[in-house]
Amino acid sequence: MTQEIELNIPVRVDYVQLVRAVVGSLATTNQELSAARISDLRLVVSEALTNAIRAQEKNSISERLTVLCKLTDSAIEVKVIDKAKGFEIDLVPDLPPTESPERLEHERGLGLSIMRAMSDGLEIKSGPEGTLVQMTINSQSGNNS
Amino acid sequence: MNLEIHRSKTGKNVFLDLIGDLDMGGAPILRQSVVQEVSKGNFFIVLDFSGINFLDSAGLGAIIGGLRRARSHEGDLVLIGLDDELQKIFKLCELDQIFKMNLSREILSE
Repeated sequence: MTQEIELNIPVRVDYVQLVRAVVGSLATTNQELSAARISDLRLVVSEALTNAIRAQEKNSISERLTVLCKLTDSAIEVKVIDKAKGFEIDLVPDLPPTESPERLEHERGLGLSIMRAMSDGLEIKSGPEGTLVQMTINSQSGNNS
Repeated sequence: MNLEIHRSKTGKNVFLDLIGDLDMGGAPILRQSVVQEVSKGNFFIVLDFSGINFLDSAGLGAIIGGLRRARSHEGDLVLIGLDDELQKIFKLCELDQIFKMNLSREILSE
């Protein structure tokens, strides 16, 4: 069984919630995916989409974002594609340690670590034409469930 | 569901009951609410997550900013009503080491 959906959404905050709902609903059709894993999926999709919207807003790019979702018996794979100007993943700075008072100065920068921790596979391809974030959640994985 | 905030005050503590999704859409609503409380001199704020369906890093950012604002006035921002799923996110980001979490609402209301 393979099901695929493609969503092309405006660069608008209110669409993040809609995409989470659509991807989560698709995932529930695979009975091997636990409720906890579907929660993880909704979280990583939200993180990727939030980053994509921020990147395009920062560069005033109004082209629609693309979300591709592929469900198989063994996994669900989601790709989030933006048309912003890309970033150097190796140059993303680490946050100060939690015991440091400076930690409270940083309201952003947690999304990438959440995506890494919650997904079974994370691949990011970024360049001047945009960024593709591909996340996989395995149906039988015990990760975080 | 977009974020709704129900406010109440008991003693020095302002309770903000959060209902809905605390994400990129909800974060500015919470941020504005905390800014308003601090500007009114309410520096002890309790966020009740019992009604939260979803939380991501954008929401966490608003909570971190709220704690910074409260502490800058010698106050505090405390989190209650976090279920296992939400606590998992805080622990993953090591924010459970920064926030006071899941104290009893009854004790905070005294």
